[in-house]
Amino acid sequence: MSIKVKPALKTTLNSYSQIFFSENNFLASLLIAVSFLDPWVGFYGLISVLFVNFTAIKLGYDKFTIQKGLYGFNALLTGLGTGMIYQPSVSLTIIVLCIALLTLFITIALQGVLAKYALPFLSIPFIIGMWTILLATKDFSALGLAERGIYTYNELYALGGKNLVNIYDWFGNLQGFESIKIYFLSLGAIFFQSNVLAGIIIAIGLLNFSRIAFSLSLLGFYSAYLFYLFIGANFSELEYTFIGFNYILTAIAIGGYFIVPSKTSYTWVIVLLPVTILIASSLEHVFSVWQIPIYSLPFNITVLLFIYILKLRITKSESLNDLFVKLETPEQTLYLYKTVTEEFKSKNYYPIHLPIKGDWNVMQAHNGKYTHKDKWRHAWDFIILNEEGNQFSGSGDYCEDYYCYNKPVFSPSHGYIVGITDGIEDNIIGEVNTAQNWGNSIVIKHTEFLYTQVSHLKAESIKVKIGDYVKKGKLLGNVGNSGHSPYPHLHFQIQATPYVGSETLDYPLYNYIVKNQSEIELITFGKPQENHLVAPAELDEILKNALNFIPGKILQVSEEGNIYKTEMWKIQKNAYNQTYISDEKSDSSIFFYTTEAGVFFANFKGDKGSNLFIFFKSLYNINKSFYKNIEIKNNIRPDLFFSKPVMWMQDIIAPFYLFLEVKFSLNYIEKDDEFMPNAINIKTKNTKYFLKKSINEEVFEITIFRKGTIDIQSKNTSKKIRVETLKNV
Amino acid sequence: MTTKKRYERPIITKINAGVTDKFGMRPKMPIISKIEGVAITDIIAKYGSPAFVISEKTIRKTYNEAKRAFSTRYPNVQFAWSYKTNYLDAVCQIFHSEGAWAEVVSGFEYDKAIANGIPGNKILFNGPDKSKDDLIKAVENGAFIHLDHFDELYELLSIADTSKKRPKVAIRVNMDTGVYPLWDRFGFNYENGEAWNALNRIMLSEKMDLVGLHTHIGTYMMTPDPYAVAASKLAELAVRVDKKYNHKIKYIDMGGGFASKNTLKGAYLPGKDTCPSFDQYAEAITNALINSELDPNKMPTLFLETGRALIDDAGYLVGTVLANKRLSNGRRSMIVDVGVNMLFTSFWYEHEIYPVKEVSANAEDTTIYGPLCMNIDVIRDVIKFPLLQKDDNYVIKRIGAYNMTQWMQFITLRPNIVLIDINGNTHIIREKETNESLTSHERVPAYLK
Repeated sequence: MSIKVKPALKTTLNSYSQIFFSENNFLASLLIAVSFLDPWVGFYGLISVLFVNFTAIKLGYDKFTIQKGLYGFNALLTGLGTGMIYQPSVSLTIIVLCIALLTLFITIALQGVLAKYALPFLSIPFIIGMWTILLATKDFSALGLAERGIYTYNELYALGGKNLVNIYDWFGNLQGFESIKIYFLSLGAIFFQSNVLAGIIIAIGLLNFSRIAFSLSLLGFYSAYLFYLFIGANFSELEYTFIGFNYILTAIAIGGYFIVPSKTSYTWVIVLLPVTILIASSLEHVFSVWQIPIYSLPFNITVLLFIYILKLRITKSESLNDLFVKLETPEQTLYLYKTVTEEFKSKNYYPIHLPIKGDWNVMQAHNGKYTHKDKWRHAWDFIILNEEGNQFSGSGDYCEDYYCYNKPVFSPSHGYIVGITDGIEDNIIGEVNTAQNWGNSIVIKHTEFLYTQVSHLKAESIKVKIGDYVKKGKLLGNVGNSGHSPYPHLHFQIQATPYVGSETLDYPLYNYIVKNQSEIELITFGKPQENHLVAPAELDEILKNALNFIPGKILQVSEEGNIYKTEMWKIQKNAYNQTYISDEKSDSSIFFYTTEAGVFFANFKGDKGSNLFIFFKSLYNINKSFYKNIEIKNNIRPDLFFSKPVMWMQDIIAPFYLFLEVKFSLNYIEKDDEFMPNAINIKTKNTKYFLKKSINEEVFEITIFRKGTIDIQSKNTSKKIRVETLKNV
Repeated sequence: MTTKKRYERPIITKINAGVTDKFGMRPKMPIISKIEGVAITDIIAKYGSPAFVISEKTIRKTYNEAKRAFSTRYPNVQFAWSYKTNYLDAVCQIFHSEGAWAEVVSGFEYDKAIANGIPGNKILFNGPDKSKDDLIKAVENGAFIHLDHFDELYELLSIADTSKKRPKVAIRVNMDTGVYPLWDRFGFNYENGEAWNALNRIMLSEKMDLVGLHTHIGTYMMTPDPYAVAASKLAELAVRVDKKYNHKIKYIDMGGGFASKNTLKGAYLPGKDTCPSFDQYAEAITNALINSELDPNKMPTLFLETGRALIDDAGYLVGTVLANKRLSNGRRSMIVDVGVNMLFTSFWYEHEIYPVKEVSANAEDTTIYGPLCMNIDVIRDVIKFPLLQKDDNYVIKRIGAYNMTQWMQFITLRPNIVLIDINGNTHIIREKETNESLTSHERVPAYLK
């Protein structure tokens, strides 16, 4: 259950938790508590946050960014830092507010610059703010230095009496556990607290927020700690803690936040920490000239540098993904990434359909054995075979004998005609025209750097001209036998440049079926293979209508046997252009993607007892083409299905191995009438797996009606919900 | 032991020495000794003479060829098997197994389709003769009723008042497609506005669902162009209905009429060289629809009811020579055991007829008569035919359409119909008639006994 929090409070809470790349309320509450271990420090932190967020709102900055706490956390850190160093006074209050304002300005200015490179500003504004105040206050005699942080026992006693002092001593005396103490101190140091208690509280908050973030904090800390020991660096506990949090934050940022957590990201943490240490050590010498600490500068440098260089890669590896959407916690991001990678990838593909109608055979596919080689390897040749596997009737000596000859070729997607070759006569069967290799061809520009080409068309059959805008399915011309074509066939390729015969692109085709005897496979994005019998998939009218989730639509939901209880779900769109279905009552949302042929529920947020969650898990991924008895399979995030204690175990090792999985499958069962159906029945299933063994499944029977109503019944709970479309309210 | 050489009677032919004329060398008639690998003599030995033979393989192959021609050009295509062309249950089942619906033109055919396991919602009900009971049945079963005239429309409207189900209707439209004769006796005329009138009445009645538009422009169409004219006229009607009533027509039914490869009487060139292919018909029809004003994202399904072109090639008639004789003008005539009572289509076509065994290259102008004691019983008026003798076998090709429905029991009884399945096995799909089959329906009043 998530508790609804007012926006103003949420903004404040997020300004605290954002330090750990989090928007977790519990962590934020603990962090506030930690900051108030020293009430004045807490006070200066809090007023900085409130002041900066208030100013940002008044100045008219993006409310969403403000609410995420992104404008508040740097000011919070300067507020805390300043409050820690100086004695509280009216003049300090004014200075804190000034410096908070400066921090906000720097934040926004940096955001303006770095956003162009898709980079975060991290805590650079805080560092500049702190340096400013430290250097400036050398001249301000009115500000007295505070004595906090020096007399540890006094402070502890003031906080928790004798017991706390005892615990502190007990920790300090633990031989071999010194590192743990330093770990907690380092965590506390992020909030300018130099006591173990603060560290422990933060660690609890961090563990509750994310097991991956917590384990990364340990990984970061110990990698650095052991490296110090390894190189024999001479460091004191105090000295270390004021640098040590850099390593913790670097580990969380690289290992789990900016990069999807994985073995590789963990390895990079281990590799990058010595680098961070080197940066820290060298910078300390530079900045000691002005007698100012380097604060989190090493963390900022390493993280910014690393994520920037990752963005400049040409080929992106699966194991080091820096582009994936970021959910609330690193583990959620990871589970989503592991389960829906294919869908996420494909949502950005431009839908390129087969340029043909009916059943065609792939005579040559990518990396074909005849001509699809080297730069031109990502192409397809299509022909038509009869039931006996022959491509012609009669003697086969004439083009007209071939089944595919003179068949219409259609535009595979919307676009502009940018290239046409015409007027090349068909070859005699068996001969090829290598002088005009591509024969009669058409090139269509669909979007920037995405073109398609059809070749070997029949002379004078081309029905379009350069500059025409063609819609998907527009008749382009007819299959012929011109160019490098010993017998009639259709050559089809996708390319990045507008010339006939350009280098090909490895790009998938959209929504087609592969027929294998009586079995049919429905493919949303894929690359037909040699000898595949393919046909474009046709969309079903009922599914198209019912699953047309456009923002503004309102769905009315009722439970069977409970006619008085109806819910209203709204289909909306947020500032990030994400579409989602929201149920205000249960404060739950389904984030989804739609393509022409399908709806994919990318993510669910909120109450798992809600009807919206039933909707999510029962219709997780659906293609709007209806082909009887075929099955669509996908993985769903396991964390939505397993209980917390089990999930915590999984979270810790999630980057390495998933022993908990949930699979979604959908079967198209039947239409009540094949030609003029009023209802379609489908069956979906969520199957839970433990160590690859199925342990439990939930089956849903779904009926979708012509007018858009969707009935969902869980076979396990017998609960039946009806989702109807309300056009307007 | 040497077998005795076959005797061949002497004939006198003009010496054709020197250069070949425009007809080339002296033609030698090919023989057909096997159908789908089964020897014709074996078929005759097993099932008697004459016998109809149907090749399942050819049916399926032809059907797929036709389907491929359309489905590679147009998104949704549905064939409906024209029952009247050949409603032997086995033949119908082969078409249904390939996915064809049923197209029927009478209550009898309708019941036959239902008995073949075709649900009402896969039956197109055509024709001018649908009784009230037929219509009620069709409405209840959800069949697609193709209205032929206003009287039928009125009758259906009155049925709709009492029926729980809404009738699903299409209208049959006739029109000038530039061919002669103009088939205007079926359906509502396009040019004089009757069709539009009928559509308006249907839409305004709000008692039935207008789902389709149907036409059937003629039979044995030797050029595909009229189909293009017809398709664009139907498309135009569909667009008009959509504009006026915001109602999308579900299907456009182009009927049948595709020619098979038979040669019509009086044709100068053989049918196999002159009749259009499925691809040519498909090209004309689909181009017309694609280029029409129909919304490309919601194209109506294209229905085709072609019968003849799908089945003609699959049918053979095998039989035996009964006698040879010389006519008064000196022309030779041959009497065979198949007459026009079984081969109704010999009134229309110059049927191809072949010997089943190797004979000499010599051939003589011959008239082939059937066995009936009727002057009109002529299978071929004149054909250059080899010198077959009594008891020799012959085979007539391309007779699958209409003969097994339009035949009549007259003078002789109707023979076995044999199906050769895709594995080359033969099955009787219609037993030959016996006197019993006829007399069982006869009643003699007691006083005559």
